[in-house]
Amino acid sequence: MSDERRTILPAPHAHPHRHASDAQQTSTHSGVAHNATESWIHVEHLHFRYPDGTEALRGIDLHIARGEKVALLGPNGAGKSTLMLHLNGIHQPTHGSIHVAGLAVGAATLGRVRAEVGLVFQDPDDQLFSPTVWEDVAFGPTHMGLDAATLHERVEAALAAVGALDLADRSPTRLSIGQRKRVALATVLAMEPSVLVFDEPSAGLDPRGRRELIELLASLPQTLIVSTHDLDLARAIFTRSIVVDGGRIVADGATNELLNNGALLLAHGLA
Amino acid sequence: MVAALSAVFGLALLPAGAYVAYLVVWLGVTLAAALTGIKPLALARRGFVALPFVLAALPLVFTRHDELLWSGSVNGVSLTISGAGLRILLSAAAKAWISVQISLVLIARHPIESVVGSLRRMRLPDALATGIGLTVRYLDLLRDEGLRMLRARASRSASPLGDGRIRAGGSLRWRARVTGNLAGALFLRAYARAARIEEAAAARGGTGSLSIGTEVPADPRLVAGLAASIIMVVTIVVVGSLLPQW
Repeated sequence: MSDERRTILPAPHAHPHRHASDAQQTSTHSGVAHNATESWIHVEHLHFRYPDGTEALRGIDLHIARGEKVALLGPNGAGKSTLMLHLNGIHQPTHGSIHVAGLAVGAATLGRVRAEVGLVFQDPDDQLFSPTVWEDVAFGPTHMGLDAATLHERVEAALAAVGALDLADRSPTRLSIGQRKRVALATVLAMEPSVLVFDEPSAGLDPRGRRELIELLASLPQTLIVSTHDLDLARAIFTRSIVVDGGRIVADGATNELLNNGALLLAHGLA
Repeated sequence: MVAALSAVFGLALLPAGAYVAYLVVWLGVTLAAALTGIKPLALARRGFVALPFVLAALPLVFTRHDELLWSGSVNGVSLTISGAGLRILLSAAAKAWISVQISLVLIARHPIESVVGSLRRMRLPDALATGIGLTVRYLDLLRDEGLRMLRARASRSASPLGDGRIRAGGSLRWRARVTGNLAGALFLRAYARAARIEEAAAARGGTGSLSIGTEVPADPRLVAGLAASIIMVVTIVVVGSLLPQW
């Protein structure tokens, strides 16, 4: 185990809406036992300012347990995407800190953080850059230095998980938006991360594609953080939702309670 | 426009090794930039975008055999360094660096429509003038597209967990192939984006030619500017040739 993999931080605020079963759940990801009542993702006083001076995040405090499925809600420009890019180390905080799976996100741990956190971008064209689906899905595992046999297994399993095995030899540019979204998910599943972060996964999908996506997301065992405007999607999958607006968390609670609060939704551009 | 092209043309005609002349031209460009509100340091930094292309001249340092500066063997391979080759390389680098800065001053000083209009008045084929105009106009889109692809690559550039013996990053050959794929994908996306823009323009009556608004009639001062530019080219070349060269 690396030096950076610190003791898992305790969640300072026990979450009232966590599944009862989560309290007993333990896992052995990377060979280390973790209790689900501890924070798998721990964000403290996170501030971020873009080079043009825009203050996108203004003090985010967030704790997410392992295996928890959380929806990030909020209007456009609320800071949801910026927050998610921090979880994968694409952005570095202006102030504050982030820990994922006990790793302090920083220059020294980027490689391992990216192995823990799979980031699926809103536009699959932002995610896919290889000439064939197979090569794109194989990018992450190849970069991780996996041997050929394991690499082959991982790619095949990831493509099978999203129902895209038959697309392996196709060019991503020749696929429909729904197919590209599924392949984009496969590119991170092949890395076997413990956390999956999605930015607007249902955007641009037709009703059938959306239904299939909901089934797929519901079946994933990983910790799930999904930014979405799709309140039906949030209601269907997530027991916990977080409302972000103006770079701050303005509400955090049970999805049903939040989505039944018309005044809250109206105040933050969700209704 | 004519003055900028003349300056680039004059600079290109300067002999290799006329470093004092390059310095004089560069000081002129820097002064012009400062007068138009461009920070000279930022301009100089942006001028370095030309340097990768200058690497094409690098083999001259090792393949020419005149004015030998050094000869020896590296890992069993005999190698020579030519003073003349080195001078050509440094001159090409300086000329490219300064020429890019001249172009940047021109673009910063005039809207791209004005530059395209000037190119047309100089009888440059319309397809070429429009191509240059659209390239400059949509350069930011291309840069953003490239940055998003690099971000996608970075987000999946992971290290193995738990086993310090495995080296992350893949082989050099694989990384080179991925980089090549990225460049190819960027080209295809640029092409696809261009096709979409062309279709959107055609849907609104576009003819494939960049609209620059009302054509400005030829200014009588253009003749004076042209004459001044010719004088500038001659001055740069003559004075530059007389100044010390190494």
